[in-house]
Amino acid sequence: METKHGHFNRYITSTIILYIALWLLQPVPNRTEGDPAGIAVYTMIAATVIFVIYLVLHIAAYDKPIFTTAKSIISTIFAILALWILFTAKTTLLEEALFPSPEIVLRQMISDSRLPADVLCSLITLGKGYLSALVLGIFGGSVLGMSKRFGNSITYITTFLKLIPPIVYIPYAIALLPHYESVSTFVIFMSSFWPIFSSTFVGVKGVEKQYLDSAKVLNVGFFSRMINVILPASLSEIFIGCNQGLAYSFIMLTSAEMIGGSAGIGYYIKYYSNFGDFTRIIVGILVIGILISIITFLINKLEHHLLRWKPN
Amino acid sequence: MNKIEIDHLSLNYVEKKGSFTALSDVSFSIQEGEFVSIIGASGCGKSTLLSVLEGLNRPSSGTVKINGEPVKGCGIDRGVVFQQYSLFPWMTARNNVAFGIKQSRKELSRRERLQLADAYLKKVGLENIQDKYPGQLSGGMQQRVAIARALAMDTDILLMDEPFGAIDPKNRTALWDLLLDLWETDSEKKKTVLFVTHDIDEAIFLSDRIILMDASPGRVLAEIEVPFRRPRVRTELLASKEYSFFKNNLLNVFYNETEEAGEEIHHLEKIAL
Repeated sequence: METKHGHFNRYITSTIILYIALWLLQPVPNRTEGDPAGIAVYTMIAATVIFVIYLVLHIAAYDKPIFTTAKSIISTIFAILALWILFTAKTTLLEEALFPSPEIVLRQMISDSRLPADVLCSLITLGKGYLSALVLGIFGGSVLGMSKRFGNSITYITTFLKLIPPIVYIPYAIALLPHYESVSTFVIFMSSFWPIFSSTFVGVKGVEKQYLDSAKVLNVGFFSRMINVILPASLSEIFIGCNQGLAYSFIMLTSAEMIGGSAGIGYYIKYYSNFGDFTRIIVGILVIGILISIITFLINKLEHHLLRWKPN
Repeated sequence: MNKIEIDHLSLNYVEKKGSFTALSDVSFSIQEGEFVSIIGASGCGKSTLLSVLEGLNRPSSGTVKINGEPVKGCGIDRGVVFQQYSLFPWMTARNNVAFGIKQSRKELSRRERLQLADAYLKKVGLENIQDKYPGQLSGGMQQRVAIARALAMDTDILLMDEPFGAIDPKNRTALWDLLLDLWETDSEKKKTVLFVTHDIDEAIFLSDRIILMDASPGRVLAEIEVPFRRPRVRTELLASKEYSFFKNNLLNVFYNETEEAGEEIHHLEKIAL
């Protein structure tokens, strides 16, 4: 039985109140020079797009946990936006030159001419380094994991190599490799290869004997055994390394680009920090955050899909 | 012809502190189309014996022959059902069966394999779970899928290692009926079955012959023909006086061990129905 009060609560949520608050902030005059008078168009378009997503989820997935999570995230975004507007454009409590308002940042993000090229460059570098680490790490890890000769020694060696912060390879990479782009690729490869390799090794080594016996009595050949039995059996272990490698890759991607790059999102931030252009620095930071979130989300979806057979 | 022939088979496991004799001088043979159970307490080497036939273990001495040829490893002439882990949890029920078919019947197309898999799942009474993963099925259902796979592979020999050991009693008896029914009707030529168990009712109800094993070292204690004619109706057979009589005698042999066993077995063979 739903009371009148409960019914009311269902529709008037913190998310909606915060969205309305964003609108209510708009008529307050700006105290900064950079912000245009009247409605902050980019900010409100962004907020409205997010609000529409919220409404769609409210209708389509009200009973599901995804709605509860999305609601909290969206409320947080709105709250941050409101505070950000309040402390910058509306009051200038934060220094205008260091902390541009969301409107200025969003306008820059949309209209920036070199940003797409830099983002693409970073994604290509990341793709090359990470994918080659993925292929070689999984291949090497499973071959050594299947062989009987290599046991604990490999684990110690990879643990040692895994613990070295990949950033220390940068000087050598700059000296040895032909151009800066290959430096970033190499460093990303180094940072993701060892976690992927060692987790694959551990996973393959730990495949339960019963599954191997089951494959043996079915007379499964080497490649089929690898693809249909050993890799699926060690997949959750492998994913641990893949996720760890990915996290390192993001750190190393931007670090390498900031240290020795001539393109990419890390270089974008580095370049504009030379001019003290804090609007573009914030744009760069936000874009990196959004990119990482999207990639991580997609990888998690993939993991969930490939491991759908696991009973919780 | 002897389908399976085991001759003076011994198997020692080499451990850190010397070796351990799992099987000592085991000899027996199984006719084509015969259903034989091996029964014995845990540690008697019955599963080790089966693993030699599966090709997973090699004898230390003696020979194991199938169709007159020494066993040289795993082969697709033998279908195997383990107590657990027969199925791959990352494949759906249908794909598990189809994967087995792919190994033994390479001439079939993917489409034919999947159709055959569905047909066999239907035979074991699982029609609507083709797309479920083993983790979503009960233990009994998983063993049905494993049986479906072993049968669909169309091998001459079935090796079953306590396949119903982890199933609750009610489902277990249902699986006995299913197994016997499929064994008697599924193929033109009856498969040769070697069935390891520690459940005496299971052994009597299913088999033509029972091989009793004992531990330390693992060895054959006695071989006993089961005198009940087929087709057997479980409820009638298990309720009959003859059945109780046979079972009690079998238990006596089991507990009295070797000394008087010879005489008792002789006595047992006379009670044919």
